[in-house]
Amino acid sequence: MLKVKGISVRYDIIPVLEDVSFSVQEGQFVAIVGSNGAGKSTILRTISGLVHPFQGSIDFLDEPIQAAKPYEIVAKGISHVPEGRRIFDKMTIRENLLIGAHTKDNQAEVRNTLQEMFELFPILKERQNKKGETLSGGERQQLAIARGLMAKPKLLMLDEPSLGLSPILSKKVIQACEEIRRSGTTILMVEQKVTEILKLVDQGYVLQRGKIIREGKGSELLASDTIRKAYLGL
Amino acid sequence: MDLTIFLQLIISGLLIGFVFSLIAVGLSLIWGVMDILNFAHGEFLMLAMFTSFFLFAQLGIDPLYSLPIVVIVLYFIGAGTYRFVIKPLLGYTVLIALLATFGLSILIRNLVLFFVGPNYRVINESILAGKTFSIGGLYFSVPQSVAALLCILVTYGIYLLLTKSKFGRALRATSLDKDTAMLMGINTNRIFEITFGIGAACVGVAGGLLVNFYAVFPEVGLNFTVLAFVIVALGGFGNNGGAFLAGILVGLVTTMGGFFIGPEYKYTLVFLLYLVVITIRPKGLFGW
Repeated sequence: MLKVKGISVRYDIIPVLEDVSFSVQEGQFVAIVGSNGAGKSTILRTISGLVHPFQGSIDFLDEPIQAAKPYEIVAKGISHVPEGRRIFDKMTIRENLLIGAHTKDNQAEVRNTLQEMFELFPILKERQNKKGETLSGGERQQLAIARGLMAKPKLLMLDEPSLGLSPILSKKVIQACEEIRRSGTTILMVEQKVTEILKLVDQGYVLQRGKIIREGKGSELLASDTIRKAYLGL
Repeated sequence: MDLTIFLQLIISGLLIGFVFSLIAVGLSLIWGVMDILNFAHGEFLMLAMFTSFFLFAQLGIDPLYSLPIVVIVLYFIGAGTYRFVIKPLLGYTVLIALLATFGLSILIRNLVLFFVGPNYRVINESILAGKTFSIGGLYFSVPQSVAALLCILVTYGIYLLLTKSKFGRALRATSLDKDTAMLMGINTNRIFEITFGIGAACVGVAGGLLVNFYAVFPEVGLNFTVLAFVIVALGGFGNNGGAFLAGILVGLVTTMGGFFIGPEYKYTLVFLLYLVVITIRPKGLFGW
């Protein structure tokens, strides 16, 4: 579904990603883990078209997208839930969700998706007419994920969805991701919470200073000495 | 003081205030979405007035009928300004774009001065010009009343566009967080271009109506640019409702001040009000 081949990205002259390659198959739950500043968010921003690589290619459903604009990439079926939620605080929760469906013209389909989101995250239905700024951290994350799903993406990209959440809320968000995956949406997630996420995913990649240093099934990576020493302190 | 005179002043202040409001809403809209102050806003108004004037003088089309043409022309001038002046500068600091609009204002003003000369031009024989009506002993200028009414309608139309339409939602999202708006599939460049177009179309409406009761000359926009900045700042930058209310306030202050203190001081009072408000409440009267 998604093939990232040898991309390198710089911010001005500072290299952030170097020769990064990985792939995501349809229906998979894939995670890229790594410490803060490793370049995880930049990978998602590059796939979304917010940043363009100076070398390498990105193919989505066998079409090159590395030079495409963000709105073209969303229309192709990739949704990106950015780090820090980035919900529109001054807009209502309902408006935030409808913005997520901006690329959809079929209003009946949008209404159906909205109901699906209200079933998945009931708190959003209760508070749909409140401003985004009134939500707590966990609710904001639910809104951010639901907003990403409003576009009915083929691939949902999540940037550290558990960041800043309590362990209980974090668990709830991860459970919601599992449910989304079961419903057939492919997920690419970047996370710092290595243990929790590697237990769940089909495929994992470890990013260190802009380079992928290991890849494998989640369980394999968890068992690896390198990962256990570097990220789990074991 | 005679109550009739006082009410007459209130009416005059409100009528011109609504026109100020629409001019300021156009400027506020552009600022709210792009964080760019369009220094050529007054020149856009001048172009609207000249377009209307020449359509009347050369083709005999009454300003009231030529209004849609003026609005469309101004929309494209605004959208073109974004595409050819602002967009190429977006990668740099906002100051560069601001200076570019300042340069554009000088260019437009001097081109008009070069081609049509500095003379004042007035339309005396249009459908609206020079007519009045009275209600209960109070006199209403027909061109100012029609201008006020249309400015209220257009401002309300913009409010509906922003709050009830898919485009308005996308525009508000872009103004709140451009990067996230892009991730929602919004073509933010297109939003910017249309916003610039709508901002200019607002002065198109105002200019096309002002021409019925205001002289047209190449420097007519200067005063309105400064007034529009003051109104937008008073209303709270980017707050369109605030700009609308502040426009009415400025209309009342200029009319009342002109009568009680002297016409030569009417704008002094506006700037004094601006200084007081900005000192006490830097976010403006209605800013958040």
